[in-house]
Amino acid sequence: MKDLRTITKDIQELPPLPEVAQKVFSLLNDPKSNVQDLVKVIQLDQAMTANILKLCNSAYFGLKRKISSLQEALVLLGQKKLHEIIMTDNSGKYYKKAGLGYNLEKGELWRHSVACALLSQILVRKTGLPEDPFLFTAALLHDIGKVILSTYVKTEYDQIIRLVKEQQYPFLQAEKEIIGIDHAELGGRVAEEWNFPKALAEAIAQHHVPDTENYISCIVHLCNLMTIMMGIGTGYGLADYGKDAVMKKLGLKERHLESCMVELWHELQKAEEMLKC
Amino acid sequence: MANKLVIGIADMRLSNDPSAVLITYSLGSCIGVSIYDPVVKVGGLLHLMLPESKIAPDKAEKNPCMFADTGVPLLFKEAYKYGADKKRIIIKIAGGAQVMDASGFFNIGKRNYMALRKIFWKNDVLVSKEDIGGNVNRTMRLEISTGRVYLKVSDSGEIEL
Repeated sequence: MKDLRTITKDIQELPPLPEVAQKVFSLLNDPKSNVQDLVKVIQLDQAMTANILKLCNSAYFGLKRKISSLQEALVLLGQKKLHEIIMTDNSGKYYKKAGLGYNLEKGELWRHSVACALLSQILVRKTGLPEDPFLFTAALLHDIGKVILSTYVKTEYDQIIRLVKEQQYPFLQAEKEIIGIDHAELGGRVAEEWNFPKALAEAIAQHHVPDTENYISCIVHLCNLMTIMMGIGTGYGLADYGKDAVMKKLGLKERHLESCMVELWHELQKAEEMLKC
Repeated sequence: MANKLVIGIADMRLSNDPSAVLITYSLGSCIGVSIYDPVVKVGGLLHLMLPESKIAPDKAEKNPCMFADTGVPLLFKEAYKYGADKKRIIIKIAGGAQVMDASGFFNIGKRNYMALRKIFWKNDVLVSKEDIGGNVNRTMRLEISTGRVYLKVSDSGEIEL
């Protein structure tokens, strides 16, 4: 068992989410907000503006003509997509080097995160479930706890995996037993530290054991499982519980999951630029 | 020096180059199907994702490797072009893992396996070796010079299938 104070202290050492991302949240929270405020904040950062435009022009969005300003991006892609692009652009840096403790190659945790975020939108679109402004970010950052915990898991990996193999523990429970905290709970604490909205922080904390009353956590739970089943960010294997109650609550069938996985495969073929973030 | 050919998700490669090694990483509920004709020394590896193409026929047309029922026939057809004979083909399969407690909605791994068994049974061919199920992650490697198939299961060392 580790000293939790050391681990939670690491949260403060994570570079904070930039102001622009905080601005995204306040805009999503406030129906009266003005999207021009967001554009102004982004424009102050030239590198970010350039990156965002590069993403807007990537094969993923398939725009017919090249766009050269944030204003154009806003018109052609809409506010929601622009929010998603900003969050993607600002999240990649956390994941780039993380994941080794989870038996994942460099970049694989980021690939898993982007895949989950894309899948969250596919699932909602294909099944007619309600959109939620925080869903994309919740799916993108659901494993943010792994960024911190990776180092600790690497040291204790043998012990954790022994519980999984010999005593059929789900990985999450083994992680908690050996280290004292699991990556989902820790991710929830990161989200609180970053002043994320409550529903979003809860969704991150609950993505393995979702409360069926928290809609975002249910969707993220399913997207996480689907990507793991597809072998994207599978690392330690499939030692996670699948919650049938979530499927029942959302009125989904197996075929919905399958057709979303097909769609994700196609979208990932076009998402290389996002994976470079 | 081995010529490593990587097969992605919903992808397939064949070769009769003795220096070639076909490898597919991270089989979760997906299944890797390896076929090999020891006489003409041609082999192929398919990484299929889902059991049946009826879920998305248009997508299956674009990429038949995604599904068992479209990928497996294609794998065999391509092998025949290299002179492989159905009677000699050795089939080995691995993957089809499940998340825990996957009794209901999350049993895609099992359904992939059932679909394969049905296809092989209908076509009167037998699987010579398999490593299926559990909640592990598998990497599968086929050596064209020997036809040997190796498996790396989660974080354990490599074993021959």
